[in-house]
Amino acid sequence: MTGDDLVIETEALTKRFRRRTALNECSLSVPRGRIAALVGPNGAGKTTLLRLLAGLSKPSEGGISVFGKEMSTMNVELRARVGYLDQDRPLYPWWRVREILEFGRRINPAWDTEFATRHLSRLDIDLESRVRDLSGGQRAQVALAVCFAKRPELILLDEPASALDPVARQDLLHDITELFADNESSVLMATHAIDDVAAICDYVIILSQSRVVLSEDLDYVLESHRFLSRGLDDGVPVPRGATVLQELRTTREVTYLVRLAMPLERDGWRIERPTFNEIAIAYLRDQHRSTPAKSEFGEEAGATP
Amino acid sequence: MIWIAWRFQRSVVVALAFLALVLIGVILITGIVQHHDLVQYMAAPCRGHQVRTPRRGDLCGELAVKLDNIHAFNNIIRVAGYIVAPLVGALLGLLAVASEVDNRTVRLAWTQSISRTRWFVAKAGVGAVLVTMILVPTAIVLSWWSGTIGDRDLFARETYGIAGWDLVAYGLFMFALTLLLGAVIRRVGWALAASVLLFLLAAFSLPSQVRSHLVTPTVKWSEPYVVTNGDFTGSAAPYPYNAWLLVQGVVPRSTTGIPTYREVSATYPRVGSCIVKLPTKTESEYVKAELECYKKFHVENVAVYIADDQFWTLQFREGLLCLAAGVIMAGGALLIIRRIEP
Repeated sequence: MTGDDLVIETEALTKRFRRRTALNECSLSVPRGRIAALVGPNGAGKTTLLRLLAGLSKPSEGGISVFGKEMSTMNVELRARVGYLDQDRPLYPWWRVREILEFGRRINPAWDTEFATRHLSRLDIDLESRVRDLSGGQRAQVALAVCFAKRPELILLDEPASALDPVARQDLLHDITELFADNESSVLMATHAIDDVAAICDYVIILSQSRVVLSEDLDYVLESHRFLSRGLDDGVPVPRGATVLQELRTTREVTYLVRLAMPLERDGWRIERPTFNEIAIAYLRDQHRSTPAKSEFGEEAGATP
Repeated sequence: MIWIAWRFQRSVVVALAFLALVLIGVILITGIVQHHDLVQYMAAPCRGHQVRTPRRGDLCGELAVKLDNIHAFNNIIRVAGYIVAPLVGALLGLLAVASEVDNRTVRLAWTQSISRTRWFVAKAGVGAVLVTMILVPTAIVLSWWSGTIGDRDLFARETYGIAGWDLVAYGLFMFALTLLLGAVIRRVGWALAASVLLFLLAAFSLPSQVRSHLVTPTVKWSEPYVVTNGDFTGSAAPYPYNAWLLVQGVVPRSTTGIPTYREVSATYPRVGSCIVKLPTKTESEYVKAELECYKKFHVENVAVYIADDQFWTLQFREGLLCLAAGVIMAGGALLIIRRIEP
């Protein structure tokens, strides 16, 4: 993949806050035109990564490029091409929704007032309402409208569906895919709700304990992982090229979740497809154990095939 | 960006402008009434005579009591005058930076298509203009009031700050101070507390440490005695009415530069130790001994003062000093803003 095809590229990106390391030597890339999910538990460094990409903070070490150019807190030209939805939805509480849109119009040259107005009207959000009078879901929608009406080429969403009821959450995710389709932008969405990923994303980055443990196309991730089961007494070795991520034992059977580096030969194994949820949890658990899982051939889990 | 800066501060500006208008109204009404009473009291037939318990129909007595009673009220106006400038500066300064950083709304503004420099310049610029717009009419009215009521000299600590354009400069100084501390501390409450503390420190040290050095004072020498009908009597160096007296006393005439109180304090013991060696049983002997010692040490009376015609020069220079400090602090705030990670 060439640099032109990538919207985000980081190289050994590290961010420290005094003694705490929020991101540790993260190298990842996101291809153009994707809805990428940034998955990880609380404190994994998702928000820190998004703030670095949005130009709100500076890396302690390493490089960060957006559209092939170095992102910094001073790069206004690049920031004009990036939309950012903060986790806290920072909007001026005493302002009317109409004034929030006016704010966006006055400082963004490519601002699309018609889009923002249409989007909010469709959701029955009164433009004359004050932000403080809106519900959490409505506030998120206003923040999302501001983010999208800027007509950015890259959209960074930090937990866009958090603190929403299930229906509002579903609607919001639907809106994001719809807005994405209209905009032809790239999206990077941080979430710890793994179900959201399978619903709308086609690229996935898993962050755990401040490190990138997976950064790949979602289809490829689903294709390259399998559950392998056999009886406890069968004595069949784990196939060559398979990295064990997780081992589950019952009294009769052992099941491995493996990452495959080459086509699998059946060899007496019962093979099943895992869901993305199962794969992601295996990666996150594996990192929580702090010791990398090894295949029976000594390969580390999570190694790029 | 100007609209955004204005919209952000609009409600507070309206409230502050309303407060300033109320203050201006009170000062104008009471000032006009007081001025009328004062003119009447100083003219015939009263000519400023004091009456504590007026009889019925005693116009002069009633005027005297009325003017006496209003002193307490005048002090309230002075206090209000001193509070209004830092209040306006602090509130608008806090709104411009600390409030946005504290509430994290900068994450919205700083991820749009504008630079942090432009954001800050617009906010600080609009804020400074609003502070000026609120304080200029207030300063004009307070200045008129201080001159009209005229019961204190303009250089007095309690009058100087509200009797000229420095009121505006103090407001802008406080505005810049809160911009800087807002950027450093990033919490509204703590930034306000620190700003008030530093402003008070500056307000108390400015008159004693800085103000008197902003213009060259006049030095008036005179003989330390006068001769009346052949008798010698001691005298103090004269200085004009309403001048700001910095130093008065006896110092050697050979003193170079502007005499200070330290030199006056050093001269008196020397003269005193000389006097005690001479006969001083009667008053005339004491005066003679005093004069002899003055002559021996070549000391003369000196008065160092700033005349009231230098009031506006002093106001102008002190105001410029405050503005220069304000510009430096705003520059510091900008440097910090460019580095903040909200």
